[in-house]
Amino acid sequence: MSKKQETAKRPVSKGDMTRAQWTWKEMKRNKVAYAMVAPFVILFFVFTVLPVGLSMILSLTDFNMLQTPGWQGVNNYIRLFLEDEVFLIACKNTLIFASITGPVSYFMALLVAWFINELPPKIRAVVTLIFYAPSISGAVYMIWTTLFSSDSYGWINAKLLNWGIIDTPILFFQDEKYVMPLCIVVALWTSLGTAFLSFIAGLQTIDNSQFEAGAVDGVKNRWQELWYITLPNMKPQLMFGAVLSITQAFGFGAIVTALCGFPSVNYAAHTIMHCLDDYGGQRYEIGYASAIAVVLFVIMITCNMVIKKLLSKVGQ
Amino acid sequence: MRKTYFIKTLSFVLSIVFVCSAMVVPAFALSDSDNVLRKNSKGEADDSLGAYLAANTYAEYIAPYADQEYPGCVVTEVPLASGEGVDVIEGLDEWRNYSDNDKDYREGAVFLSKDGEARWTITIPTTGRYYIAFSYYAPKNGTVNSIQRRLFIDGEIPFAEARFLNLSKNWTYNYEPDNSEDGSGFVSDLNGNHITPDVTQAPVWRTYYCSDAEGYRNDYYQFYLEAGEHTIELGAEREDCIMDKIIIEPAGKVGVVSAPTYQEYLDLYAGVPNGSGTVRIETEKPQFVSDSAVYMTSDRSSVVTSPSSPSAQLFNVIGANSYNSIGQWAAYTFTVSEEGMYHFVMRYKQTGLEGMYVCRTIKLSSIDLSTGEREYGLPDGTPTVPFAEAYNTRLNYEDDWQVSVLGDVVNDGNGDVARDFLFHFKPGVEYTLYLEVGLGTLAEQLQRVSNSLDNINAYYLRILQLTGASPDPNRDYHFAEIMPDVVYGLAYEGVQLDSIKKEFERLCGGNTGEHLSTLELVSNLLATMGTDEYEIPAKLSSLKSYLGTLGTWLNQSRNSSVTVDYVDVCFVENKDNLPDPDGNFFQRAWFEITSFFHSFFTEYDQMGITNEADMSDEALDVWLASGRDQSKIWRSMIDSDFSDYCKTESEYCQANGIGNIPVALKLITGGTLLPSILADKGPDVYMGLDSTTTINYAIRGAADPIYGFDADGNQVGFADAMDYLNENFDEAALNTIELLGKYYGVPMTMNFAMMYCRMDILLELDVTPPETWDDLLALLPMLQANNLSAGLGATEGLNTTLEIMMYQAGASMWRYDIDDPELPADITPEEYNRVYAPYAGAKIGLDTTVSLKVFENYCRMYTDYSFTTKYDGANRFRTGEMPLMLGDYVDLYNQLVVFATEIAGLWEFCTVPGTKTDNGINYDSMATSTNLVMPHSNRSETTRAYAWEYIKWNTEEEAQSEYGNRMVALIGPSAKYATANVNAIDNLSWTTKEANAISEQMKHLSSIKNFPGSYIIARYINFAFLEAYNQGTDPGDALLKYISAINTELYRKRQEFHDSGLKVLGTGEEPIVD
Repeated sequence: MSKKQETAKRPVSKGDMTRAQWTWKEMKRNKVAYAMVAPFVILFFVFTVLPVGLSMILSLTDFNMLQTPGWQGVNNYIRLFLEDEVFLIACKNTLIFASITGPVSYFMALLVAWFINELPPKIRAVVTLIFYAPSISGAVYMIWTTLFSSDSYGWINAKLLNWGIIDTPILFFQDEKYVMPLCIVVALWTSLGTAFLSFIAGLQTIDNSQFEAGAVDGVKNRWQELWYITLPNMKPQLMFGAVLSITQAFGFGAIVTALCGFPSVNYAAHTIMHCLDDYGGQRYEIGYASAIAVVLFVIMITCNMVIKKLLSKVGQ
Repeated sequence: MRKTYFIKTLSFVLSIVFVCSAMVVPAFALSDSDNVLRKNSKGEADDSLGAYLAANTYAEYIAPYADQEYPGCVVTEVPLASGEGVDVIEGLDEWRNYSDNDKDYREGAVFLSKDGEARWTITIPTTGRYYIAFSYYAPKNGTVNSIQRRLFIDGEIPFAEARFLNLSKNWTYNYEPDNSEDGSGFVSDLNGNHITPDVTQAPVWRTYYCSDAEGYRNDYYQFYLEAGEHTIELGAEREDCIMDKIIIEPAGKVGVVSAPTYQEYLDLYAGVPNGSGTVRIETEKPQFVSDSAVYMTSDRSSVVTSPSSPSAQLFNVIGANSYNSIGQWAAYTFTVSEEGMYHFVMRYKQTGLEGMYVCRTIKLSSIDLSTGEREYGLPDGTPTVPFAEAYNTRLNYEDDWQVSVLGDVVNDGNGDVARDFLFHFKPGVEYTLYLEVGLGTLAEQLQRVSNSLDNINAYYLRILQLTGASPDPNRDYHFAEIMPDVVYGLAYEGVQLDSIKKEFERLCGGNTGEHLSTLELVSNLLATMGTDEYEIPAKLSSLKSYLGTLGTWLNQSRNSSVTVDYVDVCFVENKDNLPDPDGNFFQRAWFEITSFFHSFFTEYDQMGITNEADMSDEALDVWLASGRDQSKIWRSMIDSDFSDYCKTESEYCQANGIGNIPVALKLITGGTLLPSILADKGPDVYMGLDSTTTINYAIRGAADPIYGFDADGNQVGFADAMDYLNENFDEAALNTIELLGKYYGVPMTMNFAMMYCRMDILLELDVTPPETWDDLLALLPMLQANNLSAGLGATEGLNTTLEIMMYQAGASMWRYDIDDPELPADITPEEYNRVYAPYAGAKIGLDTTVSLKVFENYCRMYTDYSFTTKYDGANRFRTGEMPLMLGDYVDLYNQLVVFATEIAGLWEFCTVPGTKTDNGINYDSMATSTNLVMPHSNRSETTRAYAWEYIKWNTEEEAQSEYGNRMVALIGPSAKYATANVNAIDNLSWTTKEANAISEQMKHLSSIKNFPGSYIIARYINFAFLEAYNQGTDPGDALLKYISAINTELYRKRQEFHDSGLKVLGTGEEPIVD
């Protein structure tokens, strides 16, 4: 009993204290760690958490960038889902983009990384650079505008005219028929980015002894090797790559704008990002744009969770 | 780990595939076509241009008379006879209209206006070759341009080059030794940076001998005149001019032909001792310059450049990127203390033409201070070359600074050696050294390149005529049978270019710099095409791009600049004792290190501020989203002119006893304004906001009205604003910044489209620029038969052509706007304002009968008449493929001036095609503007008044024309400024013809008003057009589909602003007429 009374005066274990007390005590004990993490947390909070929070609040107002916002409640969301036809088109397009470019570019990055990993180191370095080039050299996708230029001197148009297949140039990037497929192709072409690099890095960290052990334990072919040894070993990189692919696929807007103009013809390649730009930039409707951003945010978070679930199945 | 062959092979193949796909294909267009028929027939559209195109070159003109003996030494000075736009200046009083200097008055002087023609009748005693010269004077109030005239003899063009005679003016910088802290003559700002001094005209009487403005000939033009009576006529191209006599002088008296050779010159002064002492001429301070584009600048690449500072920008050199056009000069005055023979030692950097050299001409004039005798130059002070070789003064290439003695290169029998020029100077005489940009010994070869370029161009067009835009490389076109001269010509030009390259190499002492490799490339291509006709189709597109490259090459070689630090006048005994051009390692290292650290403390946004008050909090906050040059010009104009304006012109300042309004001008990046207003840190005046954004801000209460009435009928803004706006601006520009009767800005720039015409091609086709759209369509078959077309602008977004056609036909983009054709015909302005004005812009005006008809015609132009929907305008205009093209009167002009120098003088712009209406032809073009705006904030009444004074000063005639001219002076002819002030246009540096065309179009301007939701229109019109174009839908149907979508958006957007007085109209609703 006396021992218990003593502990009541000077609590030592978690059970003796309230939750808050315990937290405070732990924080004091680890103050060095907190100090070290502070710079990042502050920046992260100010520049990421706060804006996200703010846009959630703004999405409930009619803020127009210049005047004091007025409270709107969920009106913006109602309009978004029930009245705005363009937004629905944008949702459809975004999902198409994301479901095609996201997985395809992800698996492409993985496969290419796997193949390249087999090459001798020097050649590997060169080939890696070549694959990575389209995504580092910024606006290199503009080459596609030359290829598919609406001008009769655009490469494809000139050839088609020359062969007599068409008699007036096709406006590739301004014709509903071609806009979407072309954009997807270009997106795939540029998508071998950071994810691809991280895969290569991940592949190289795997210890050779594991493969040897696998061989001893009866791995029959390279696919088994990949599934049971390689991939489980690089789960963090896979996760990282997946997150990147998803954000890229959903945030895919700049390339469409550069290729097809803004907005694309009859909204044929209008994505949620474009909706956001349209309302935020051209129409001065930041409140409404925030609502769109929140929706996009929710979609992305959901996708991330699904991916996480899927990845946990790797190697099982 | 075991690697299988499968994986190896697969990865290899895959990587090859990706390597190939990742290779960036060079972004050439496949092939460009033009198929111009080179006919010799001359059209009637522009007699003078047609005549010039057909005229001989000077070389062809003078060749038959080469053996003609020089006539006797007769000098004829003839007073002026007659002409249009010619005004004989009678007496000093009239002289004062043209000049501020009474002492320059000359009896019998005549004023020649910038759009007139002057004629002289002369009697030639003996048949022979003569020089023709004019004694001229530049009257005040001219622009920055040099005087330009064209010459006719007996009503005929003697040779093509006589179209451009360039008479340079005399300009001077106003140095202020009293105000400059370092005694340099340059005023410094608060941080010690030098500020460019004002440049003003300092007119003097000069004698101009007709000579080549292109610089291809160093001697003067000779004219063959038979004995008897002749008329000599000068037609004006640009700028006013005063002349007092014309001098017909037998060829051979002055100029290269008779100027002594260097050896003769030296013999004159045999026995004169070597000079002693050194006179340093700091070249950044010229006494006079030929035009204001010759200006001093600051170079910090070397510690030795004098003066230099690690922290401040001090003017220490002249040249760099300016001072490189043929005929530009800078003049320096100096005296020496001992008689003797002197060298000119120059410190300079010539990095422009790698492996080649640049030529400058040394001209001198002198005046004995006691006797007035002139050793050098003409009696009136016009400088001349002391000896013929002075044209060939060469400045060699080196990738760093060099100090060398000015001279030329001469063959001493064993090869080329450098020869330093010696000049005779004596004390008591004031000498003026003119350093003029010329081509010297390069002239002949460069002219050969220029001729080759013309020939190759002609061959190219001939081939295209046969093969069309994209020739089939596998087809045999039988070039050798059909056009043997072309095939031969290509081979010949290949040989020519090769020999030119060899000649250049010889001139440059065997150097084969990178610069010359262009010639080799083109030469090789021509050799291939000329020797193997089957290569022609495949190589045609390369030839096309090489033509462009060769043009650029020629341009570069002609206008290459030299950065000059100083010139020493001294006798150099031993070249080893010349000053070190670079400084030693420690000097340089220390300079670099100190400048690096100083760069942390330099406040670049304070550059140019001379007044403490301008940095204080009370100063008027003016933001400018533009370039560094623009901001520097405005800064210096604020310093010099704005305070004058406050003191002398501004009623407000005078009434309140304000001597100076401090202004803090800040250069910002675009897009800063919105967040700054949000944070309530916006400026007092924002310069250059486009009209759409202005109205967007205004409707959201973020811009203050300049003039108007509020809902209760009280006047807001400034009392004198409306008068000011009406006096200075076109209604079309004002229209775009008006909303509900309030004006939210003052226009600064105004742009509109005009039609650019390649006159040479139109003349060949024997057609005139179309007056109406119908004319254009009628002209089209003729153009298309020759593989040509007309450019109506890209169809992306809202095409100006559609707007122009709509407003010409009387349609309006907005319903219930004042232009709306469906308003009751007899409505009075009061009734309109009461009933319809609040509804203006509530619905789209595209569904009216007129609009639908216009839209249909517009779509037909692209679907049925095959106008091009997307093209590279400047390029197709340059090749001649689109001899007619709609383009902005300033943007496209500026582009063509630098980009397409080889077609200079061959194109013009005129009013856009019109639409026939009941009241004659409507030529309206659409105006857009950028404005000076006062963002909303709680500023005091005084600040508001200050801001208004600033806005008025900034946008009025004087400041606008001054700014436009300074831009041209600083950046060159490609920096034409589109002022919105209609009164300022005349003072800008357009040629007379251009100015007339612009003012003609300015009489016919319309504009589209800005209402909330206007962003939606462009995209839906574009959608409708694309549907009609891509899917062949009926244009009217396609457009009507989108009308309700547009109206819904307008309705929604206007509801957002229902408090502002804008009334909304739902579907099917009409304005309530009570």
